[in-house]
Amino acid sequence: MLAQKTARIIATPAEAAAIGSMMVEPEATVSDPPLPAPEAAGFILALLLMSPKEPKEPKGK
Amino acid sequence: MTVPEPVAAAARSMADRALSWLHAHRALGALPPGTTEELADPDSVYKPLGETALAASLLLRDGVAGPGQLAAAQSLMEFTWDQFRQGDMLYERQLRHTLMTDPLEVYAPFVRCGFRHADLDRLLAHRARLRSVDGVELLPNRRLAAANAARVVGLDRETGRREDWDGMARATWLGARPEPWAINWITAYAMTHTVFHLTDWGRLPQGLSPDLTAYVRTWLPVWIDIWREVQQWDLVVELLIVGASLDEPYCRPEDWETIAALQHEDGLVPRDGDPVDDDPRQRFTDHQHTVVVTAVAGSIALARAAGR
Amino acid sequence: MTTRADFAAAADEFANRVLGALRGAGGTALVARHIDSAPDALAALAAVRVLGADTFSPHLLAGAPFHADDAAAVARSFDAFPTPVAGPSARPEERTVAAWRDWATTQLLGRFGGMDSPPAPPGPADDLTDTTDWQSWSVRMAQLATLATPGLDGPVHELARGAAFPLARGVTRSVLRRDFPTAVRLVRWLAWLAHEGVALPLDPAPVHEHVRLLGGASPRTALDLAVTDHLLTARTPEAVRT
Repeated sequence: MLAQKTARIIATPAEAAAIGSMMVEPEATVSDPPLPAPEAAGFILALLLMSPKEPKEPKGK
Repeated sequence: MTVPEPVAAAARSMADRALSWLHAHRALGALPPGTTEELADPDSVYKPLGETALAASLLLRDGVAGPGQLAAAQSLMEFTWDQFRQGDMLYERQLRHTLMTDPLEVYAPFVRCGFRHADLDRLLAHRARLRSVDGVELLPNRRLAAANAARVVGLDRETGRREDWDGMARATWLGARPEPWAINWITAYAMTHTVFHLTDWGRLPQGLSPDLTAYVRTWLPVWIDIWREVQQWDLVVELLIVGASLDEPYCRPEDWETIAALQHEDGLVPRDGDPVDDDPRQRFTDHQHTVVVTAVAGSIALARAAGR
Repeated sequence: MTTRADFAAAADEFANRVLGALRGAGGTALVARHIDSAPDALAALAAVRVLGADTFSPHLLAGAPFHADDAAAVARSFDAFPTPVAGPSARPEERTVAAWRDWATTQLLGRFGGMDSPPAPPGPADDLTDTTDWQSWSVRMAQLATLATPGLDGPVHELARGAAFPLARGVTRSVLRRDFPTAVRLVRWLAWLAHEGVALPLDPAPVHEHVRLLGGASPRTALDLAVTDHLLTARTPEAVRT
């Protein structure tokens, strides 16, 4: 404890860079906004003029 | 701010090419032979035909496209009118289904361009006076669609009734000025349609009340941004129509130029970021709606730029 | 060599300590005890740099005492990490953000740590004045969320007061993108504006609850949420009002 208090600790450049990205965190690169959902299909089929096509099945299913 | 010049340039390119595509591919949208007023799948051909007629009617109404495009729009009106057997099919469908609103909605663009069907006019006037029709429990944005179609057809003059536009607007999602961060994809479409019908597709910008206009102006940039990022082009173009329909248009050049740059040489605009199929019929099925909204967006923005 | 994962773990641990103190738990000399009890002193000092001005939040918001030992510990974190994002890959706007975060920390250190002369701002906030590109501007403000606290005021705060719309758009965008760490930080700015009496186009309370429910359970996010709670509901202790 005493040693920690007296010794001068200095980060290496790599260590300093590592906390830099924690201090200045970038926003999420992958956006996950509301997308077409099959649940919406029943609503769309109500003959909306100028409504979108029936949603496709989500990708990856 | 009005409509900036780069937006007008993009809008002209979008509208002209979209209309050319709709005209060139119109045969793919034809009704199967022997189609009657009973439609097993109204969304497959009937609805796209109505949408094509709507786009063509707005180009003719706004009158800002080039002469070749106006001729193509007139040709599309005649093609779609013929598909509906000069209105007979709409008449038979409305006669068979008193409470349904789609024959009225599909008829409205034709009336806008001077196509009329005397028996359908009489039937619609009769129908408009029925409390039963007024009482149908439509979704609020659908009620606005029917009310705007009735306004275009002139049924309000027929019945002498004054529509409660403010009350109808307040009943929609948009009318509640809800938390903008809780919107979802289908609700975004409901919101665009609320604006389309209140403003009669950009003809009456003040049809959207000042408080709702301020709300849309505040949040539209966010909605365009997030759906642009994930390439939901069909919805993005509908949002561009909303911006162009505001009392003081919101038209950001980068957004319009993005869509203009996406548009294929033949006029197709992809509905999203997925690959476009090579099969002509599949391409029509997948992207016809997006081409329609692109034509409408271009026409409305050009009309606003011209001060109409 | 201490790795990024070590730093992240230490930052979470320190955030939990600060959060506990903010809720009235724990005794005295929070920062000093955090450093002294840590197996890896460098990681513990890094955690203080990462939390920055939030290190002072128990003192600012809950009236917890701030000791001379704490001040010395914060000063040591600056010795260990003098210029964290000065690497060759750092972009100018990242340097600006890091400089303003450091300004906020040293400002509070100066005020509560008995330093004679609080630091001058790192220059005008020119990189932050243009809110036309509200998307990337709001991301920078999210990175500066530790400044959104009572008792700090400066050029960044003055910008925020005039930017309720870009901030509210940033909140809406990040919630819809489901980037909840960013959303939580931007809601904190909205709450700060509400605390300042600035009229907002968005009610901060429901979106605060929404991002709390969806935003995950990281200690740093929890600390942001706790500060927002204070801004929206609690009164700031009179003693630290400036």
